[in-house]
Amino acid sequence: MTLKQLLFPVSALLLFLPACEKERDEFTPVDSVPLYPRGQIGNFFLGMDQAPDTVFTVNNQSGFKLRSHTGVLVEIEPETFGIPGGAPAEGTIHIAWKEIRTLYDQVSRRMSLRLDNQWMRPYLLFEWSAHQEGTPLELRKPVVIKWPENQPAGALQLWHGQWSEPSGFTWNLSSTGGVSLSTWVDPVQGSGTNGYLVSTDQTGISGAVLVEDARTDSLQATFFPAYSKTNTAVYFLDTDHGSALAFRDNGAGLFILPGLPAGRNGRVVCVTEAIRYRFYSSWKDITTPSPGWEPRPTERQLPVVYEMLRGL
Amino acid sequence: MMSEPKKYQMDDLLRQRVKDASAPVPHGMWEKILDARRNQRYYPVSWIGFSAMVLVTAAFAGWVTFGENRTHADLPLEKPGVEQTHESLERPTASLRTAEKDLQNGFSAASEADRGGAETPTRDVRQKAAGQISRTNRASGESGQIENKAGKEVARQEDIRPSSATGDRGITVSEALMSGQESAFSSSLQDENQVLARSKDFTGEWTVLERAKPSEVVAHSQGQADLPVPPFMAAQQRRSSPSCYSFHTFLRGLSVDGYLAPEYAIRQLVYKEPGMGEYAAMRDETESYSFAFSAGFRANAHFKGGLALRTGVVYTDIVEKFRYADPDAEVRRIITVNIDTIYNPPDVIINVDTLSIVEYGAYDKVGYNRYRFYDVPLLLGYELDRGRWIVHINTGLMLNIGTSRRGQILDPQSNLVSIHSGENSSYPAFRSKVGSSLLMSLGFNYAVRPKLHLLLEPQFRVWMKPLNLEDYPVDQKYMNIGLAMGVRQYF
Repeated sequence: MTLKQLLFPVSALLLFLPACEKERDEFTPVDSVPLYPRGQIGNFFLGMDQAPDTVFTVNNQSGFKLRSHTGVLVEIEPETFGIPGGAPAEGTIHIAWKEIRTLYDQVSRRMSLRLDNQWMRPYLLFEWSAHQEGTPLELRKPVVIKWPENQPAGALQLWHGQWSEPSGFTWNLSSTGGVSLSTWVDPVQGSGTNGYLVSTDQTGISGAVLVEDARTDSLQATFFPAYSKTNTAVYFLDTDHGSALAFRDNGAGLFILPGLPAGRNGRVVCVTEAIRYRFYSSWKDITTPSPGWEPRPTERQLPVVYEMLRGL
Repeated sequence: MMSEPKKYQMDDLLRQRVKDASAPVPHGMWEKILDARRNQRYYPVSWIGFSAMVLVTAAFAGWVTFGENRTHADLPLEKPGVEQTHESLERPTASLRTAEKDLQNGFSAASEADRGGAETPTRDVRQKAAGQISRTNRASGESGQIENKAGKEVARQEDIRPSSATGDRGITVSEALMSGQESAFSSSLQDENQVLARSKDFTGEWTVLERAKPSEVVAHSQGQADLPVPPFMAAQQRRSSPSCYSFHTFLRGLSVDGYLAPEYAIRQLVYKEPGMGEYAAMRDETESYSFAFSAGFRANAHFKGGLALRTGVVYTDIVEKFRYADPDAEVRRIITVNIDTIYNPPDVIINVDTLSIVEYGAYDKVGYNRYRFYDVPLLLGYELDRGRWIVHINTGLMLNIGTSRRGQILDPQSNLVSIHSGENSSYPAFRSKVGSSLLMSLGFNYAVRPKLHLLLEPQFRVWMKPLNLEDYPVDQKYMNIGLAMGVRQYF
């Protein structure tokens, strides 16, 4: 074969030599989000620390004053606690006291400082109960609670909160206690103490709060349609004011937090139990108003989430 | 004195009246303008252009073929079939020479017998002359030679060219004359009656003889020039071949091409709605030409004058690189989740469940989209012979009989979708048949052997319709420029 005859097929082959780049189809996952969560979000709350700060052991027949490590003073008269039905409890009783001071505490109790389109700024949140040999006791008389406050605000209100299905955590304004500024002598410090005084007739969760006006701003978190309050909890944790505000399940994977004032700094957190004991979570720091959020909860161990909440 | 400017009172009046006049823009004017723009699709080559190209090619071929009285000696093909045709076409001239020799050798007696009578020989005269030829040759070659000399003079005076109303008849005369010559020189081997019978046959076809000019005859006898071919013979040469190839009075031969053509595909995306401009730009950004080629087999019918018709099967493949990167892509899949492990020595029980998840991450893809076309060409060509080279121009239609695709594109919602023609989930953007496309080419054949040519053919092809369905918001059209390389085998 001569050179001329070679030239033809060689030139033909050369024309078929484009700069080929090898095919590739690569995906590097960063987040993995469950599409159809089937868990129960209650397991997330059950895993949180809900132990009381202090359990006082007192005699119900004599009056006494309880003082917490933060200086909260609880003045209890004799025979204040009674068994269900009305008779006063005799002998020694136990009083568990928990001051809800952190956002972790609020979340652990599934609280939400939200009143429809209003929100609460907490001054004192506490949870307390009395029991005798495992039997819960009721209040038969009002109890006065005093706590020091360095920066007194306006007119506080006492609200009692409770968790109930299916409406979730609800607040009811106390009918007995007005919150007022006062000065008293601290049994430990001895000097005069300025703070608030409130009278309550209920155990459980109560809060002396300042209710903020309703606003039109809202936060929205959009998930896949299978996400609901059954398997998912979404919070805005106001780090400036220490308020945990739960988003409302609006259906079809949409969670809404209405009535939020502008300029609030905080962290939005979502947690879902995709399948039994497999939790996915995500969070994001925002300042209101903030555009809609499309969380991508990724799998995390619960202690990691709890530690995050404790850090706020 | 300066002339005063003319005053146009009517103009002034109108100017005053319409000075502050205004009219609102008609409702929907912009929509109409946009519609008009949208309808102004850009088709680089239209049917008019194609028709013009065909006409020009045909006119050029016709002019070259019939306008210059080309003979078969000028035709481009050098193939056996054509060579036979050439030989056949040469026969009348050879026959003429043979006839002249016959006349010189054997018709002298007939001419002498007829010299005093009519100029046109009758059958009886020719039979007598033939018999005399046989007898003379059998008796003595020398005397025959003498007789031939005498006859040669007679033939010069009488006639040497057959004049036939038709070519076939003329050729019959020629063959008969050749037979007459053969009989005259093999008289010792054949019977006189046989010779007479064969002479009778040819004389039966001999109808008219024309005179040649004395000067031509003299020049020819001296070997200085061939006898001129009369006009009727030239026409006969154009019209037919005397051999078995007379069936192909217009067809000169057949050949087949096999070729491979690297091509460059020029793609055009034309959006139909103003809102789809961004989508078209996105597709242009993610898809780019990689390479293209065609491969085909063509059967060629070569006709007198250089015209050719071609048809066959052509496969075209346009390959485009698809490059897509999404830093926030999502993939859905089902994973198996270990939800519990129970240690019960020696057994370990693991409870598992499945979970549907969506994975988000960075996606990087480089792929090649392939658009395949299966076409039947119908081409008209014209060929020019230049020694070992044949130059030809071609134009015609490529009738699409099917397409297929493979690969992925972005849909108008920026989703990555498959265009694989074999999948049910394929995005419905493209048609299964794309109609016809136009092809124009200029070919060069080089004869490496008499029957085998190398083929080099630059081609230009344009699809008349877009590849996509009507509902798809962007028209995807192609023009291909290629260089076909292959071989042509003549039969």
